[in-house]
Amino acid sequence: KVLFLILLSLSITSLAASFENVQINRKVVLKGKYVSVDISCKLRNIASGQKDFFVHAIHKNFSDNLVDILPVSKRKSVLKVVRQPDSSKSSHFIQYQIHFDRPLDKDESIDLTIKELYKRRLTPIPKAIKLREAQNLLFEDTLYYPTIYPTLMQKLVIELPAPHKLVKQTGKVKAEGTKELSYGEIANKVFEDEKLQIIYEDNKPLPIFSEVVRELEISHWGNIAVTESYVLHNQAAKINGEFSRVDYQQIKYNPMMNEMIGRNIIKDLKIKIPRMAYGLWYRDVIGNVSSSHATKDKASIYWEVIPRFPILGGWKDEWQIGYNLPTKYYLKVNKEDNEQTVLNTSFLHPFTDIIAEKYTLKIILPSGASNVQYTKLPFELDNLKMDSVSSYLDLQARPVLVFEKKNAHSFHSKNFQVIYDVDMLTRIEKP
Amino acid sequence: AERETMLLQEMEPSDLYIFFTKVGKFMQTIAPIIKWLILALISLIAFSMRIFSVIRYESIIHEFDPWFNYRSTQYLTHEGFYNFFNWFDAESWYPLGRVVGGTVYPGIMSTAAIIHWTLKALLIPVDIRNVCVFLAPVFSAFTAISTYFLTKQVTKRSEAGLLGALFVALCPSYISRSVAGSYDNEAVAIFALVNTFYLWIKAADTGSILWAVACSFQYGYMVAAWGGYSFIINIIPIFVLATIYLGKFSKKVYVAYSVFYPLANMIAIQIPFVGFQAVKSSEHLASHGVFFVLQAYMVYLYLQDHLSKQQLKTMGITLIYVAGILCLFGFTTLMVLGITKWGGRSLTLLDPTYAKKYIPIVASVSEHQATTWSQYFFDLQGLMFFAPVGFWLCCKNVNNGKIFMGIYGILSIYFSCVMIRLLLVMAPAVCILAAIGASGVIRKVSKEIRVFFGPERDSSGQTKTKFPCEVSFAGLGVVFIMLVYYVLHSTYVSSEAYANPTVILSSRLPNGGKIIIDDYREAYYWLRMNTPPDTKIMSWWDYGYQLTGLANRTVLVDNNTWNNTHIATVGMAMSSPEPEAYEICKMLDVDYVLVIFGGYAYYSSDDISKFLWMVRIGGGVYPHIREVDYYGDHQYRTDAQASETMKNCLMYKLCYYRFGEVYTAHGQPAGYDTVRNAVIGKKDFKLEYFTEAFTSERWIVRIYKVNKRSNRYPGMKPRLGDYSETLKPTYEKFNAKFQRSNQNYQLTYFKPIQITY
Repeated sequence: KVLFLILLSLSITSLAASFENVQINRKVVLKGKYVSVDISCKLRNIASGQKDFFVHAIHKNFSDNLVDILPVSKRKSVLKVVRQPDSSKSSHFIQYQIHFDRPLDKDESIDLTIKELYKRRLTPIPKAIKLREAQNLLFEDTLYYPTIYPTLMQKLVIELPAPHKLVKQTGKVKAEGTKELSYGEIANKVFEDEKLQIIYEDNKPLPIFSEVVRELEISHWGNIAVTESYVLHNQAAKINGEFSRVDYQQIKYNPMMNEMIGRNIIKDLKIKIPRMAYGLWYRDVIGNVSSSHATKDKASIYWEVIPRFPILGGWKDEWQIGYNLPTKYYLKVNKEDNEQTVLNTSFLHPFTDIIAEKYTLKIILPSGASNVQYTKLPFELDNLKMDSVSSYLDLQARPVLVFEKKNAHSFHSKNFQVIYDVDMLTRIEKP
Repeated sequence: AERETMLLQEMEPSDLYIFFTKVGKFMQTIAPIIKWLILALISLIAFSMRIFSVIRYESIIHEFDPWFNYRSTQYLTHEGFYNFFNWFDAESWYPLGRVVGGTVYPGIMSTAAIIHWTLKALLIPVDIRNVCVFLAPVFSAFTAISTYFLTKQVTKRSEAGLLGALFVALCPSYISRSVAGSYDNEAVAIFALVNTFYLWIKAADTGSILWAVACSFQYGYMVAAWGGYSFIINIIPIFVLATIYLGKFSKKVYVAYSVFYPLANMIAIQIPFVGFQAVKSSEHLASHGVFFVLQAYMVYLYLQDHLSKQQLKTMGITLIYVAGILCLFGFTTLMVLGITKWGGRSLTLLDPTYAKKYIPIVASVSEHQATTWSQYFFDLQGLMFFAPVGFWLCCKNVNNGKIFMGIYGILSIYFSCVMIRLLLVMAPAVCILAAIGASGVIRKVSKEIRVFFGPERDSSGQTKTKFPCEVSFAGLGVVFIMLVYYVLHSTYVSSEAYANPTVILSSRLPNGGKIIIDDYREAYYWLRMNTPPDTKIMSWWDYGYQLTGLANRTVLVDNNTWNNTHIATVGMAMSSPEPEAYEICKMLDVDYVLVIFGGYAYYSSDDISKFLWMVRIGGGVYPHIREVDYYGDHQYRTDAQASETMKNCLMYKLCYYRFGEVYTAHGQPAGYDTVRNAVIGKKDFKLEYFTEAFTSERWIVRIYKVNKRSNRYPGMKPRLGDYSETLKPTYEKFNAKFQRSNQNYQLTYFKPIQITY
């Protein structure tokens, strides 16, 4: 252990020369479905020369939970993040290189904010509760900002749900407001690994999609068929003992009970889909799910997707939804080149506020489509491949463009274009 | 148009007659086209009449048995024929399992799979579910076509054929078994049945070996499709005997039967489920006997030409006696030795009271009950009046086809009296007889009308009609009205009575809106999603196929009721008090218990209604369960007067657990059972050995988890039940203590036991 510490300090000193953290303000937001951490930092280059990047560290315990890192410079430009090849494997920290938009001179300071989003970091404690009991969530973090550079001053604020009930916490709190816990200003050493634990009452459900597949099947006869399949898990506290209808159905007859019973249950999910959509359907492997509503206004269709059964903590559900879109709003034929078609679509599924751990977007082009291109997305994909599928009356398989992205979330809800060529004859050949 | 009518009025009757003759002539030239067009339309109606359920609900498999057929079809399409016949299904009949390949009629699955593969090869990939759902309506259209041919073969008249096709297409009793989604053996079997009969009559009429071979193959398909094939293998020998008896026997019949009998039986043996039963079982005995009788009769006919009458008589009588004694002796020996046996269901047909006495499991099925008159009227309506006319016409003017139809009619009417489900076998017979009757009446009446308008008159200027023309017109009108009402009735029945998938229920709101009650699928899907894949579920056998199909979980008993003891054990568990039921559940390695309860949602066919059958079947094997114990005040009831045995049995407890806390009907106290119309007899009770795991929205499906055995002495109270996470530290602490001091443990934990005992 001693040897390890020596090695660690050696590795630190070798790097430590390059930067110092002048001021770090960390804000952990526990209000939403997931944990987001906003870090605003002021860095100073204390190395001898210019620096292109600095190293941002994340504790190894939470690295699997990390969904996204989004560093933004003061000029609002998103910076490039590269995972550093793990030099010291035994380290408690996973290191990321954050590249500046322009090289940083010696002794120059920079202000930037890093947004981190984590999934599955709120653990219900105890793991199982009764229907009427309150749910306590455990949040764990390091008390100090994990960094490989010396930090001059740092501050930690934890934002809790509005009328919060703190059950237990470790660490010296400087100020406790109605909404947040402030740990004040602390000067610290590097790589200090002191645990921070907060247990607080929060009754929200914790939904997460383990897998989402969205398929768009394009027909040049006027229709884009959208099919989306979901696997939803509720990470909230499990039910202890019986799930009783007697208790649960009180919600139905007395809306006041909604605030009393089964607050961590996913009862419905609301989504918004384009107004032009028609022929909505909602089913699973055993047939239609008849419990859902949709309303329409001038801008969009509001769809209340109600699962077959309430999804309690620890339960899961799988379903498919789908709808059709008329091509005239989404497909554009290039006026100069009649064979070239442009599809305009959103990258993400409509349940934008829930993280999809494994997200696949399949665009099934009409058979005979060639020269497939797509406009660049403002984030990196995990995998991209061309596949093919045979459907009705297909002598020639339809090309499929498959995008794969791990941990897709609202940030990825971006529109982009797919451009491909189909000649006139194949276009009118079949639907 | 007005001018035209004026013109018509101005015309003399003879002009009118000429006009109509011209129209008639023209119609006759295009008659073949119209005939085929009508047949096509009838097929279309047959199909579209049966898809109400898809329009009302969705494309889904109905009822219970079809779920198994669907599941095995899925297996067949994924794994291929070879694996299908070797399929050992471990998901049903836990822990016994079921050899599906050898215990199933593979006809319908193969048909669906072949259609699926063919369409796929034709670049039309249709989901296997849709193939299964729409198989029955498509085959109904085929049935209409083969009924046309059969009726035409019998009557030699295409108009009777068309009527027959129309009747079959719309026959409610056939619709009940062949709506979209009713993916059961009968769906294809009725087509096979009618087609076999058509080919048989064709073979008997022509004496052609080719037709006989075709008939044998069609019979082979029927054997593959449905257990009802034994009807065919009995009716054909009976027909052969009848031709001999009625003196209508010809060598054509001989050729047809001599080709059909060996070939058909050989094909039947190929089906694994039938196998050597085709030789051994009593259901097939008639076919063997008649084959030998036929050979003997041919020898007799041959000798007739060569011997004198006296010799023939003596020889004939001796031979008949010897053969009769031999047959009787042989049959008795076979029966006594147990080489040949009557199946339970066949015995029920011969002796309608048999099932009630000896096999409650057969008697418990609602479709095995005796048929009521109202059921006949509901399922046949107008056909009930035409069929006797047709039967009379068959008797009046005998030929092969008419003899056959007569026998078919009589036999099927007898069988349908015994079991409701055999109304289906009767449907084609009644439809064809009714078509013969109706077309006979129409022909007679329209001939009269033709004569009335015709130019031939006697001296007094009267036409040569047999009875007044008003009667003819009235007759035509009555037939017409009956046909119209038949169509209306069928449409009504098809859309209202037979369009319900059973899995999905629906109910009308006071404002006319419709709500879908989807409790079954809600609970089944919950099981599929939120229980481990190897979960064993105990429920009454009715829901076995649905559970394996929809929830994809292992069940103990299902609708293939081959093991009475296993079902009786489940019946015993359901009718035992909670602690005993728990021991049975543990013995059977059950994880969840599922009950259907309709008392909350006015759903009457629930487990409490079926419960007496569970008691009877359970009691049939385990005599300590006695039906009388479950009667309170000499009747079956669930209210305060219910017997203590009833109130304490598992079924009662699982159905009514916490039901005493809810209000179900206006102006009634809590715990009011809307099906039994009574307040339940036991309200405040806790379950000690079972934990409510899931109850569907309208309480129809209730699922309970069987608690893990607590690691303490069974007699101890309170029972901690589930070894839950919150209790884990307590247990651990306890265990640690126990290891430290055994004595201490005994002092603390055995004391209460001594007090309780």
